[in-house]
Amino acid sequence: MRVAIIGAGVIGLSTALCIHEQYHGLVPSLEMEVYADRFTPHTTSDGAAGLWQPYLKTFDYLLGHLDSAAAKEMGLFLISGYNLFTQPVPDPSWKNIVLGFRNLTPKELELFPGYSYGWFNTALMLELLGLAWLQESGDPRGQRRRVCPAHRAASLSPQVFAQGADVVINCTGVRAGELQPDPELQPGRGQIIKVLAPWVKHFIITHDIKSGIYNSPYVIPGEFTVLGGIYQHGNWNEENSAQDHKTVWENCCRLLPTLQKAKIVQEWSGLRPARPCVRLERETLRHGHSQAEVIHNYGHGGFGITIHWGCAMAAARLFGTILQEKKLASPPQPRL
Amino acid sequence: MAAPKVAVVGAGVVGLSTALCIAETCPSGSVTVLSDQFSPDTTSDAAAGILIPHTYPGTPIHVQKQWFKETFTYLFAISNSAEASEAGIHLVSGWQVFKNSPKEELPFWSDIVLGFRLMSKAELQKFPQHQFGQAFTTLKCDCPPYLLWLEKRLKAAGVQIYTRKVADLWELHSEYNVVVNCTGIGARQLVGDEKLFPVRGQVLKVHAPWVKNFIRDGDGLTYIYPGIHRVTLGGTREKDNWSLAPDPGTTKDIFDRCCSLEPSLRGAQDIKVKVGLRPSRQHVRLQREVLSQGGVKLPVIHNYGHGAGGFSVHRGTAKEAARLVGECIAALQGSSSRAKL
Repeated sequence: MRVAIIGAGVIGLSTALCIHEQYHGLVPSLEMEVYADRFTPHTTSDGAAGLWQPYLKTFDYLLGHLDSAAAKEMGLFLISGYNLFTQPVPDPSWKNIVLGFRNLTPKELELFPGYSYGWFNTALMLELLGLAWLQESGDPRGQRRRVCPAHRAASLSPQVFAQGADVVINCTGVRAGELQPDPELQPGRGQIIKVLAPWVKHFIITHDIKSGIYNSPYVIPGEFTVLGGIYQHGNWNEENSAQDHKTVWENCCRLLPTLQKAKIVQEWSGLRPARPCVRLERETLRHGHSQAEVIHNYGHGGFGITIHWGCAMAAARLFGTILQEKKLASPPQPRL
Repeated sequence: MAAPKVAVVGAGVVGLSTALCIAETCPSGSVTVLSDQFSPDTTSDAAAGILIPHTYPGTPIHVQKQWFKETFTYLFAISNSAEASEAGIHLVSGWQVFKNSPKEELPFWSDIVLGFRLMSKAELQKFPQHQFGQAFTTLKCDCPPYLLWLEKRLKAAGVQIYTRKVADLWELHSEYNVVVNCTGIGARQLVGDEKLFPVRGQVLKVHAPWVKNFIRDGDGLTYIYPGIHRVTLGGTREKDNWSLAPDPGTTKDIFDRCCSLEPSLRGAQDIKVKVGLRPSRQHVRLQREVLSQGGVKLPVIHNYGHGAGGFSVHRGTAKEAARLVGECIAALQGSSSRAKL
């Protein structure tokens, strides 16, 4: 049973890991290969700040790893911080999933002129750090990784089918449209500034209903502190823009004056794989007499890290269904 | 009388902040700081500098609360300014957890720190050995940065700073009009105060930048305080132990206790050990005394004995000491003008 995963961002790697964990014991012949033209630190995931504002399964999975020795390698840790609003908003659906959710007190709001309402909670950070860990983990005997930096898979069918893959997992993120056209998938361009500001121990995320999500300044500490607040729908430009730099720097320094003394370490632009909803489904592709099963897992927008494990598990469930069908459909046959 | 000359003896957090308050409130005077030790060798440098008050049995609670409030307000303003990183002051959130219910559910300082509330059962799951907890956000003063920043402010205010071992406060009477005694544990010998005793604390300062929240066991013995560059792990409270030498067995014990509160600390790197002698007393000695020999008088303001709570109340006690210095100066100027008649 040969499985090809296309894409080595957080979605590709976690899906590969999840399928391997669940099935390598059941399917001794399971062979997995990861194909990608970009690996960490050059994926979209690498630019992500990595903050987890919750979704169910991923939170439980990550929380379970928090106390382990692996936490440091994963770049996994707890962090507290602020969500700020210019007007009262209803509590989020995830208020009981995170730790210690509460509204901000008047004294706390004094720290953030211009914002009149907010939340405080403790969340999980998965800094991508985690990506290198994902890449290294997994049973070395059962899982091979094919580093194909020169290959851009021009389309889903010829390359991977020629290799004899039975199942293809499509985790190609923002460029999924190159393998199979998808007009619903658009880049949501972001630009960030990474600074050295180790005295900042809290995340700060502002929300502006008018400007839309991710277009309002945010500060997320990690190994470095990430300053952001750009979201440009449909913009494919991966070059840094001086105007966007100015916007991010000025807005974040206004939000947190202590940042004025922070040393800038890196600028980065990335394309969030934005879609009205994540494409997480099966598709059967036929080529001549053979067919391959495809599981799509892309279009996670600005919250890929947040939901990666839940999606990986959903993809693994789809994989399990494929396994069952193959057993039911026919006994093992010699490969053509 | 010429500009009154004030000597502040001691250059820990209490000495430097007191000197700064005096310079700010008594502009007519000239202030000099004298000390045999400076950062990074003061007791303050061993401390984590977290603003969680220690309760002094001998001081009225409303006074302690006032001191803490003044200190918190002062540092809070700096923490949100461009100077914060240089001054070493930053906000930090976390948890104080208890194995047994604390004596009081709400400590006197609960409405001064930010966002104080009791922890929920879900939050306490992170601490399986603890039954009860409090979550809040407070401030931390990192040393040496905070002391170095105070020194910089002092120099900008025209305060002279000299390295000098003062063996007897009286030796200053010919050069200074008022002496302020901020010698911490040194006061035991300097003024013979037998009510002052050391409570030895050993700490580890480690590299573990992923730890962003503080954790303190309510018994005060085990704590994890993340600073700008290092995390302080503690500690011990050894009454009447004068040894400044780090103890390796204690180091291992502190590390193990902290790892049981925060297992990821097993990955901490570059462990440095520090020891400080908390200058402990039933209550802070904050009062005026007039030394006199052969008709010559020397007013002394004592400001020492802050024990485990120095950082938490330093600005409040510095302001009170400065007020007492102002009174002394006024009295001296009053009597000198009477002498002119």
